Amino acid sequence: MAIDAPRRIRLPGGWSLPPLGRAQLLSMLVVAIALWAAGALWIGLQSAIHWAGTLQPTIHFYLPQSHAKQRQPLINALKKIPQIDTIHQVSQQETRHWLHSWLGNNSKQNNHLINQLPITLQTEIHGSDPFLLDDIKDTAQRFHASINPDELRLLTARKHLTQIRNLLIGCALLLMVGLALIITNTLELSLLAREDELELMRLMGAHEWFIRLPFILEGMLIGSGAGIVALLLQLPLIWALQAIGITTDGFSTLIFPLLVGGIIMGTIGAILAQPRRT
Amino acid sequence: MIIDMQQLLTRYPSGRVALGGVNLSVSQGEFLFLIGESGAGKSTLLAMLYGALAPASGSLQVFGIDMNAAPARKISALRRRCGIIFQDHRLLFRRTVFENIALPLRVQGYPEDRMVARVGKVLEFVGLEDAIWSYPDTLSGGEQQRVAIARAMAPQPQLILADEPTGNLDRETADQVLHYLIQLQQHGSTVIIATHDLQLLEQYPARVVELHAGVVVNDSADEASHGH
Repeated sequence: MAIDAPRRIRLPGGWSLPPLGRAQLLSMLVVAIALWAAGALWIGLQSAIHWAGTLQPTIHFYLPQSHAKQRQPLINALKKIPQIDTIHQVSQQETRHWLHSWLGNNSKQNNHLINQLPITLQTEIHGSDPFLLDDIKDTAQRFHASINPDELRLLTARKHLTQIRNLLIGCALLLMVGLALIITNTLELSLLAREDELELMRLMGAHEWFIRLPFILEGMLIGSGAGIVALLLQLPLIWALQAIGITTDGFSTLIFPLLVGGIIMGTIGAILAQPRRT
Repeated sequence: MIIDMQQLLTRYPSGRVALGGVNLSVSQGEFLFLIGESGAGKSTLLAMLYGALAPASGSLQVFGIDMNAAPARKISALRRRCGIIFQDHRLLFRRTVFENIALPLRVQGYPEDRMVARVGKVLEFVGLEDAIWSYPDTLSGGEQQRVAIARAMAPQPQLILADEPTGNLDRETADQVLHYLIQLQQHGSTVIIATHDLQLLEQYPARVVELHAGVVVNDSADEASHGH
């Protein structure tokens, strides 16, 4: 008797994925949109931090002439702040030149003003640290120096952006739990639909891993699929940012978290949705 | 002995005694009818044999496995040596007959390339070779029960446990189902049938164990030994 084998796509070892239907696709879409939203926020934030960083690479410290003796101790203290790259004292000649161009060539008045001007230290800043702003303020205060208020505001903005980014990382972790629960819910529907079959498999002597593996694979498939969709949906956002002149390296930093995060969420969701023993 | 139970006692979740001190031994290749009224404990006894229920006290050994302390791994191994036939046959109606019968084979890691041939062979045995790609709901009640028999026998189990296999069938179909089970015994399997259909007993002279309120009240093997 010649019998044709059924045309079913099966996994090696006799496993078969639970049927991927509308519920699974919907779940993948919901997870993808949530991942995309998180990714878009991340890219936006990275761009903002990048923008703040390019606008504000320097901080000027002003030391009054009455505290000129504090110049070297101030420089030494600034050198101890790791985010400060270079410290440069603006020379009197440079100040004179700037004052001439600003006030005109009244040298007598200018000379008087130059002698009154504070000693100016120009510092280059790199990176971001939550304590950088406080370190700079404390150091300036300790040596009776003042800081350019506009530069300080930018530095404050940068600090807040860093705090928002940290908050976002916390939110992303919560989001991952939520997304894992969405996947869990979807897989539980799938489990419910196959409850009879799973119970039969147990009665026929199937090992637990034989029963669990297809659902774990399904969870991983939903998670990774959502990660890929979310990643592709970031591309228009990147292009839009580039079109208005904002560059970002946010996309490259998202590839790993979105793909691996999606798979991890899918796996966690599948484990949480494991069938109850009968 | 493939089954040996001594003073086996178990309770329903409500606390009521389901089996109260059953002593029973079954040898390899035996054909045994388990009879009794509804609620006598027939299904409970079968469920204990494949590890769905654990004994509350007493001892139960199936294929040498102590069911009082058997881990999940051993219960799975035991179930692979059993073919279970249910009264409601428990077929998967969204799967073809082939998929239903192949299920225990897949669970046991049967080679994929020999699957179709094996399923075809067992279907031939129960006279349903043409129904291999049909869905169970297109078959009659008797045919569905024959598919269930084919599914139970597909992995060539040493022990067939049938719980009211003819419960919903007409006389002629019931006799046919019994015929298949007798043939399985003649091929070397041990067959235990829980039934309240006393007409089946007239069809085939086999050992009869009668349960009443969770206790064995009559065992034809004992009667025979006393007679001798």
